[in-house]
Formats: sequence, structure tokens, C-alpha cells
Amino acid sequence: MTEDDARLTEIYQELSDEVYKYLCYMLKEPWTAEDLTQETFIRVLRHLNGFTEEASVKTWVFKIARNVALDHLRRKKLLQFFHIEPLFKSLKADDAPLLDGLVMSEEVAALYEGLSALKKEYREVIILRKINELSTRESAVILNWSEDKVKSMLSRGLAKLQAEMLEKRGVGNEFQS
Amino acid sequence: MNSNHELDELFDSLKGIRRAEGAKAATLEKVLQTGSRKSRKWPQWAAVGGASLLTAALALVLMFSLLNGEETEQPAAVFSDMEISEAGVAASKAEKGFAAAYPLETFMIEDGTFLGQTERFLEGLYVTEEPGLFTEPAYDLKLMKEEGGQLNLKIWKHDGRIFVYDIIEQAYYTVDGRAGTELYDTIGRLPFR
Repeated sequence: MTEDDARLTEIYQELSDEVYKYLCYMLKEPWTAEDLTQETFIRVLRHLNGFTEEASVKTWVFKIARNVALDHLRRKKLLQFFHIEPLFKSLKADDAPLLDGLVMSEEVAALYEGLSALKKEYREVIILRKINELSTRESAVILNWSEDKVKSMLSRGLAKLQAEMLEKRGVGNEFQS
Repeated sequence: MNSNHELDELFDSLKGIRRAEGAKAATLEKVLQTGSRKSRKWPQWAAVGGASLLTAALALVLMFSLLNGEETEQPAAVFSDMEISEAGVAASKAEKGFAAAYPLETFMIEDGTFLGQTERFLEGLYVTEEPGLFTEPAYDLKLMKEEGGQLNLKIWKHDGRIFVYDIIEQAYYTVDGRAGTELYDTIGRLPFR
């Protein structure tokens, strides 16, 4: 095993589950998250020598994962445009069997669908902050936003999410303070 | 129990997602296998095909410009000055530490055909967060599709480097000269000022 392989393995063991989780919710396609996790770490390995350690490995890897996700979304948009693939379905609670490990209570299902319905910017800041548990600073680096923007978008996104949950399943009114 | 706490508890449930059994190890193995191949060159036909597409498109743009008596060095009015300025400012704020570190794949469209493999022609293109300035002459490359789909690129040179801006996706690219591709040579021959 080369030095790069060893370093990659270390990074992979530490971060791949989080990257998978991020991709899973970000793309609304649990069935492609593993493939794109693989693509993310191939890119990490390819650019490991160029990584300057100016930023943390975690934000660097997440930024690459985000680029992989955005590439995929662009590709999907074009494929849909040319009718090469059928429209992808939105993430529904019915996908639960694909989401191993989730206990899909009514509330969780509402959260899951609500998250899926949010616009991309809200969805990604909520995923990074609330599911991946990254700090405001780390999220700001990954998203190329200011920390203030991360905070305001998170706040707006959560409000929108609660509204979505309420609208879709009548869940969420208990969150209204 | 306050509302934020209850919502956070629900998020905790979403954190419990697991990967398929064995997937983690299998993916790592594939990553290392791919990496061990070191040079992941795309097939020559893909690079040549992509470059040829771009060459043809650029030729059309140049021909169109000549037929209309325009000087090719002048940028077409795709953006208003204000829009250009805002894009430049936003980009200049971008973090430079990650510049050119992230390869980005994208698409070429020819006569309404989606050429999936041709995205590989962008082997020499890397997304950049250091896009240079929009104040210099640039070329606008538009590939139109009958149904309304299009690829709009803006190509310019700054400090000896060539930059590409995808207007629709609002993504910047820089052309990596080290790739030594036909694409780079083609763009490099344009009479940038």
C-alpha cells in the first residue's frame, strides 16, 4: 500500500459514512449515494498530493462531495431534458427500505419528505448543520457562504421545513412555539 | 419540551441511516483499485471528439462574427455590465485555497444530441474559484438546441490563463494547459488580446 493509499484509507474510514449520509439526503437518491461516495473518494485520492492542509481535511472532502453532488444534479437535469431517463421520483417515505437503519415514524417520514421538498440551498445547509453536525464555520467553508448567511439560511430553511411538514402530513404544528 | 428540541430529536433519527452491509469496505477497495491505475486517461477518441466539437463551434462563432462585420475580440453582450460586475465581485470573494482543486465534469451538446461520453473532453477543464476579470475581451460560445436547450460559455484570457464561464450553470472553469489537449490548443489559438 502506498503512502497515498494509506492516507486515503485513513480519511475514508473517518469520513465516508458522513459523506454517504450527506449525499443520500442531498441527492434524494439513496440508491446512488454509495456510487457517488466512491466517486468522491476517487477524486480525493486523485488530488491528495495537491491538498495543502490550508483547510481541514473534513471541509475539503465535503467540498469535493458537494461538487460531485452538483455534477450529478446537472447531469440529471440534462438527462431529464433530453428524455434519456425518466424523471426521478422525489424522495418519499416509501423509499424507507432503501434507507437502512431508519425508524420511519410518522414524524420522521414527514421530516424526510419535507427535507426533500426544500430548495437546494435550504436542504444543503440543514443537512450539513443538523444531520452531518458540522459547525457554522465548516458549513460556511463548504458552501462558500459567510457564517452569517449560513445562520440566516438555516433559520429560514428550518422554518420552511416545518411549514412543509405541516402541509404534507399535518405534522409540525407542535413545533410552532 | 421546546420546538427546537423536538425537531433536533427528529434529525437524530435521520442520522441513523446505515450503508448496506459490506458496502463501506467494497467502496474503499474500488477507490484504491482506481487510484492504483494512477493515470486515468480518457480514451483518445473522447478527447479528440470533444475538441473537434468545440473547434467546430468556435469556427461557427468566428464565422458568424466575421459575416456580421464584428471584431472577434469584442465580447458579445450576453451580460449587462452590472451582471458582469456582480459575477466578478462574487467570484473574487471566493476562497482561493481550493482554487483549481476540484475537477468538474460537464456536457457538450451537438444538434440536440446528448453526448454523455463527450463530457470527458473536459479533462482539461477544472472548476475554479479564481476566475480572473470579466473586463477583458472574451468569446461567447453558444450551442443551441431546437427545443430550447443550450450551452452558453464565455471564454476569456487573464494573466495568461484561459477561463471559461458557464453562463447557465454559473460555474467557472479554467483550462489546464498541462493537459496539453487539442482543446487547449484550439482555445489558445484564439486571438485574445
